[in-house]
Amino acid sequence: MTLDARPAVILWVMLLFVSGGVIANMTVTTDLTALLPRSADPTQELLVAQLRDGVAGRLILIALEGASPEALAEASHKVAHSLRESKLFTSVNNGNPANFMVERDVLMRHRYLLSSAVAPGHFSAPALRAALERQLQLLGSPAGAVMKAALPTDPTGELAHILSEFTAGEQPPVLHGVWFSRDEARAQLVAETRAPGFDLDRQGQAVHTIRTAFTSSGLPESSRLLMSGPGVFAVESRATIQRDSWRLSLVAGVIVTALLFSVYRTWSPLVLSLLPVLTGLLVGVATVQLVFGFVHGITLGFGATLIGEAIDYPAYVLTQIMAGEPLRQTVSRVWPTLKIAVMTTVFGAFTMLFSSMTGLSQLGVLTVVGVFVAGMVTRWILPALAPQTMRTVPHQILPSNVTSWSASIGKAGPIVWILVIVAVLILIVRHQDLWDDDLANLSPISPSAKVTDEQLRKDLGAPDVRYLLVINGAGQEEVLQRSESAALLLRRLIDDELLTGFDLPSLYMPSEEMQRQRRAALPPPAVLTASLSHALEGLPFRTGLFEPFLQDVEQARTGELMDIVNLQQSAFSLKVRALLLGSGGRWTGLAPLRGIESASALADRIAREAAPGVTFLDLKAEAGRLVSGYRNQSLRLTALGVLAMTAVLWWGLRDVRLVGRVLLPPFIAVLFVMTLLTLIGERLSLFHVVSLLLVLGVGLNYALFFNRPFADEDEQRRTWLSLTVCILATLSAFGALAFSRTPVLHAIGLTVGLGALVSFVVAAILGRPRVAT
Amino acid sequence: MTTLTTLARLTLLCSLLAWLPVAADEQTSAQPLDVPELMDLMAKVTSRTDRFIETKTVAMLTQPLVLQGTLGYARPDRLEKHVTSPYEEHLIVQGDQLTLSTHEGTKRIAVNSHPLIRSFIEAIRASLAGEVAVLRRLYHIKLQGSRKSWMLTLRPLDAQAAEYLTSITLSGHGDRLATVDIREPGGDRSVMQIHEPAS
Repeated sequence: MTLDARPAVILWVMLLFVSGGVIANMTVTTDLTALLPRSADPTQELLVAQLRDGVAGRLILIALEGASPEALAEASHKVAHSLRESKLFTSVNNGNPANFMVERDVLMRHRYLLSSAVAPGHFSAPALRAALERQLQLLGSPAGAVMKAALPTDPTGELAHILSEFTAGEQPPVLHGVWFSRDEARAQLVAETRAPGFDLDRQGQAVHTIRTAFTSSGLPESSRLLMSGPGVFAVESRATIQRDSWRLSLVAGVIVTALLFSVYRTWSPLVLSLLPVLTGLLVGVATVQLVFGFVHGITLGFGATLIGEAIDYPAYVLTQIMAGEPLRQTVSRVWPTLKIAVMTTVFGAFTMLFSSMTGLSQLGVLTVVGVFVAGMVTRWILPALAPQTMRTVPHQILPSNVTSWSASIGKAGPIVWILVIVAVLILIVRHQDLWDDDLANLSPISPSAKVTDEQLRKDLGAPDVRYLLVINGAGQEEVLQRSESAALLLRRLIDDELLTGFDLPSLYMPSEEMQRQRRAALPPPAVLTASLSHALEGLPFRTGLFEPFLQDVEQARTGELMDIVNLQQSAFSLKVRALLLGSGGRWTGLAPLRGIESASALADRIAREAAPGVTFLDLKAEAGRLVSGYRNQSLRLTALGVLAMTAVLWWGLRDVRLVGRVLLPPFIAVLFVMTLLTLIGERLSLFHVVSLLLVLGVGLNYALFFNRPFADEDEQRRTWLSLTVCILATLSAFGALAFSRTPVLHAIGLTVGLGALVSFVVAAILGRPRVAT
Repeated sequence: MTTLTTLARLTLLCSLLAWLPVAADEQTSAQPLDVPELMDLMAKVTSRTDRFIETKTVAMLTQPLVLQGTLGYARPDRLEKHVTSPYEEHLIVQGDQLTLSTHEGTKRIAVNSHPLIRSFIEAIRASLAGEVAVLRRLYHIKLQGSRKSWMLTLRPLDAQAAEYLTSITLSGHGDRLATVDIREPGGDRSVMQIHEPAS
C-alpha cells in the first residue's frame, strides 16, 4: 500500500465500521403501507388505513380435510381451543354455538336499544297480541323446542330480529357442532389475528401456531390443512422469495465466479470485485436508516437490484490490466470513462429523492449513496488493496479478430432503426395493455393459492371486501346517524337487486339519538302490564309467565344507553372497531357490501340517493389508482433523471453527437424490452419500471465504453473483454432470477437480463470506436 | 347318553315341524323385526299423504295445543306438513331447504345449518325414507315389536340436541307410520297421530 492511499483506506474502514454499527441497529419494516404516500386524498388515506389495520387483512380462513366428518369436527374443536389459548387471535370461530354465548348475552342485554323493530306502538296491546300469537304458533312448530326457553323474557322476538339483520349473509352448514363445507369434506374455522395483516413477523407466528395446532390435533396422516387470507399469502410469499432468491443467488454466484475465474485465473481480483458493491450496499442502507429512521424490505430488495450496476465497475478496471502495470495506473486510465458512468447513475437517481413516496425516495437515497460509494471504492480502495502488480494478465477469452468483427457489426445500424420504428408502432397499438395497475398482482400469490382462497371464502360466506360504503362525519354520533339512514337506502337497493347484503356500524352500535328514540318507545310498567294482559286474553299462556319480560323492558326504559364499552369481550367489539374509525373531529364508518352485480349501477344510485357524507368506494379501483399514481410519479422523476444524466454526459464528453451515441443504446434497449414484454403478454408493473431504471444505467455504461477512445488495437480488445465480462455477469445473475416462479423476481430478472443483452448489442452496433488523441 | 341325545333331537324335530306352517304365515306379520327390515319396508313407499292430529303439551301453556292438518311425503327427500287448524301453516322440507309459510310470509332456512331442526326433521324423513345410516348418525335406535306393530325409539347422540330432546318414538303397522311421540326434557311432549286420509 502506498503512503498516499493510506487516508482513503482509513476513511473506508471507518465508513465500514460506522455503517456496520448503524445497520446492526436498523429497523426493517415489511409494512407495505409505509411505502405509500402521505396522501391528501381522504379515500386513499382510508384505503391505506384499511390495508394497514382492516379486518380483511387480519382474517385467516382455515379448513381441515381428509378424514371422517367426526374426526374433523373433533379436530376443529381442538384447533379452535389451542388457537384461543395462544392469545395471538382476537377471535376464533368454528361454528360451535357454545362460542356464541357471550355475543348472545350482550345482544339479549341490550336488545331493546339494538332492535330496529322497537318503535312507538311496538308494545301496544294489538302489537303484543300479534307477537304472542306468532310465538304460540312457533311453539307448535318444530322450532318450538329450541325457542321456548327465550319466550318468557323475549315474547316480541327482538333477539331473533336483531340476528336476522346481522346475518344477512348465509352461514356455513353445521355438522357435529362445527362449520363444514357444503359437501361435508372440510371442517372450517375463521380466525382473526391480533396483529395487522402487514405485520409479517407476527402473521408468520400466527400461521405457525395454526400449523402446530393442526399437527397436534390427532388427525391421521392423510388429512390436510388449508389456510388462506392476506396474512397467510404475505407470509408464504416472503418465504418463497427468500427461498428462491437464496437458491438463484447461489446459482448465479457460482456461474459468475466461474466466469471471472476463467478470465482472471487468480483469486485476488475476485475478492476485489465484490468490495465496491458490498461497501456501496452497506453505506447506502445505513444512510437510508439514518435519513428515514427505518429501511423498508422492498427498498432492500430493489436497492440491491439498482446498485447491481456497481458489480461491473471493478470488471471495467481489472480486465484492462496490462502486463506489469500497477492497478493504480490501470484505474487512472479507465477512470475518465468510469467517472461518467458513476456520475450519470448518481444524478439519474438523484431525482427520486424528491418523490413524495417514501418508497421511491428511499430507493433514491440508496442508489445515489450506494453507487457513489461503489465508484469511490473502485477508484481509491481497489488500487490501494491490490498487490503492487497483478501476477497474471486477464485471460483474453475472446477471439483475436474481435476488433475487425466489431467493425462489421456497425453496418447493422439500419436494422436497429427499422426495429425501433416497429417497436414504437407496436407500443402505440398496444398502449392500452401496457401497464398493470392491479395492486393484487404486486403481491406474489400463486394461482393455486387464489383458487383455495376463493373456495374457502365461498364455503364460509366470508365477504370479499372490495366494495364499501364510506360514511364520513364530524364525530362518532354523526357517523352512526348517517349509518342508520344509509341502512334505509341499502335496503331499498337490496329490494332493487343491486346487492344482496351489507354490514353497518350502526347495526352493532346504534347512535345515541336512535337509542333515545327506542328507549322512549318503551312504555312504563303500568301501561305495559295493562297492554300485555289485554293481549293475553283468550290465549293459553300461563299467568305470570311473562314477568321476566316486564322486568327487562322496565330495566331498559330506566337504564343507561349502551356504549362501545358494553360490547367488549364480544366479537361485536372488534366489528365496531373495524367498521368505525377515527378520532377527534373526523370519523368514518365503513359498510362492506355483498353480492354486487353491477358496481357502476350501484355507484350511480348511491351517488344520486345517498345523504351527504356517504360515498361508494371500490377498493380495487382505488388501489389501482394508487399504484398508477406511484408509477406515474416514478416515470416523471425518471424523465427528470434522464435530463440530469444528459447534463452529466455533456459535462464529461463535450460532444453533442457523442452524447447522442451514448444515450441512444440504453433508450433503444428500454424501448425493445418494453415491446418484447408486451408481446409475450406481460403487463408492466412497478417491478418492471425499477428494473428498467437499472437497464438504463447498465446500458449507458456499455455505450460509454463502446465509445471510449483507445490508444491501440490491444486496448480496444481489452475494452471488448471488459464489456463481455460485464454482460455475461449481468446475464447470469439476472438470467437466473428470470427462472424464478415468484412474479417479482421473475419480472426483475427477465427485464434486466433482456435489457442488458439488448443494450449490449445495440451499443456495439451503434458504437463508433475513436482513436485516442 | 345316546338315548338322551336321540330324545332331544326328536323333540326338537317335532317342535320344529309343529312350528313350521305358522312361521310361514308369521314371517309377514308377527316375527320380531330388525331395523334394516323395517327400513327396507319403509323404503318401498314412494309417496303418501295422511291426515294428522298433533297434541302438544307445553308447561308454559294452560291447555295443550292441538294442531290438525296433513302430512305428506315423497321419496326421497320431500316432507310436507300442512297445518290447517287452528291456523294455516305450511312447512315444506325439500332436500336441505326448509320453507315455512304462514299468513305473515314465507321463510327459508337451510336445514343443515341448524343441527337441532335437522335432527327433528331427519327423525321423520329418514325413517320414512328408510335411510338407516342417517338415523344412526343422529340417534341411538331401538326397535321393538313385529312387522304388524312396531315401535322405533330414537334418542339423540349429540349432547346439545339432548338438551332439547329426550326421545322421538315412531310407531306403526307394516309400512305405515301411525304415531310420532316427541318428548322433551322438562316434561313437554307432542303426540302426532297419523290417519289414512278419509277419502
